[in-house]
Amino acid sequence: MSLDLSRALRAAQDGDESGFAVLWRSLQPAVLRYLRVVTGEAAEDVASETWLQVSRDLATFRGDIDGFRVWLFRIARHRGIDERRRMARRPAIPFDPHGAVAEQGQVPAPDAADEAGRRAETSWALGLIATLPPDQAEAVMLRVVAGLDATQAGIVLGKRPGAVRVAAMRGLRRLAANAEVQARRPRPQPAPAVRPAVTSTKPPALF
Amino acid sequence: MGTRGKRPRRIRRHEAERLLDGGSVAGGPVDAGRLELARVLAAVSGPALPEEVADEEAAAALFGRQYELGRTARASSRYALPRPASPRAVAFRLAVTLGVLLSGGLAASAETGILPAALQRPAHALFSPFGVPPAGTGPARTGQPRHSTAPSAGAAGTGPPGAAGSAPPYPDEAIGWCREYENGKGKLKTKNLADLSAAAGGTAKIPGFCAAVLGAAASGRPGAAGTPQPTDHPAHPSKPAKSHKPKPTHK
Repeated sequence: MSLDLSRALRAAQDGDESGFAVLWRSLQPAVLRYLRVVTGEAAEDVASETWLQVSRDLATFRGDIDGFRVWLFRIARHRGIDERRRMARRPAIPFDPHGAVAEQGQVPAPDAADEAGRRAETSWALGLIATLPPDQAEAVMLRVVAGLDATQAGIVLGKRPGAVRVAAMRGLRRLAANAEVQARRPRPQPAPAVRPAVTSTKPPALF
Repeated sequence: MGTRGKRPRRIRRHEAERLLDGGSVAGGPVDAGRLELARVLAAVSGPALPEEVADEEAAAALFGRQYELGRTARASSRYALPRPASPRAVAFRLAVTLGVLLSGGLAASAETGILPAALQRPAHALFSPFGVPPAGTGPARTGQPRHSTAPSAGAAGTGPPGAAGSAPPYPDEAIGWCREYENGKGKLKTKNLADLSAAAGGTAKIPGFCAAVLGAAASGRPGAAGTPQPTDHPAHPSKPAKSHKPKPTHK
């Protein structure tokens, strides 16, 4: 996987579209989710701007796939900061996990229910992280979603690795103490999972 | 109900790192209370949702165009705005700035008269159109910088005190004329009067001119100069009329 990505990166640096497509497919979800937490509704637009800049400057990028990840999220972060400046006069729009789900009302796939559940779960979790103080939210997202270590995340954020670790740890503590998370703690007698279909007992309508 | 109410232990650093490294709880003993937190992390790092990667083709097509755009932009910026021009422009600006500063300093030097005599006159000639007054023509001239040149002028037997430089602001004889003029209350040999008048720039200007000349002579170099007004320096009672012949300071 990482080898494929390395090869795709080299191809994309030479201008190869299919190489770029591999990179994009692999990293776009993480970019998008990171930006959902950082910029909320504007995430899709900011992600597009991010990839446009990556496309323009990829020929000048020097480094391996890990370096590329750092570079990519640095660009995403800066585009997100630009976007927040543009919206500075408006009050910050809190992340709306329901909106993202509602958009996807009509997915007539065989595993629609399963996928809808996953989508709902993802949206819910992103919405939770978005309630953290920004530095904690960013640290958690870059560590968990972008797959960066503390040093790499520190490069993206312009912080020392230690500061990233502390921010991420505080973010986790705050998440763990969140009432919604607490409400999901397993009960003493969990429902017996007799069938895999048990996941479908959580329809997306709940979210 | 009892277990639900129990608050989970505070997350420690190592546990946090383990959770962050893939959101896994499999790496070691984790409280049951962490499971829901691990679920949150797993949810945000889960595989792509179809709508998240729906635009792949569009993104790839855009990539091709943007990649070319970036290349041409970089190429044109490399050749249309050649980098080497930049340091040159900086150097040019620096040179202009230095020139302005230097000429400003030169003008100031020309005014105050601290330049070497060889430079003083050209400097004055250069800057006089811009209102820089020549050094030494006004009463402000004190002549200290010339002090060291006075003995040599005296040794040569010709130079009166105020004229030690190569560009005397007034004729050597002016001091003598002025002494004569003042002592004689305006009476002077006709030729000398004419010369003095020419040096002063007009007969009417003689009193002012002489005041300046004698003032400079008196304050500037009493040792090398002819003796100033007897009333000022009774210790040097010499004949004013002859004082324009400097006494040699060394033989």
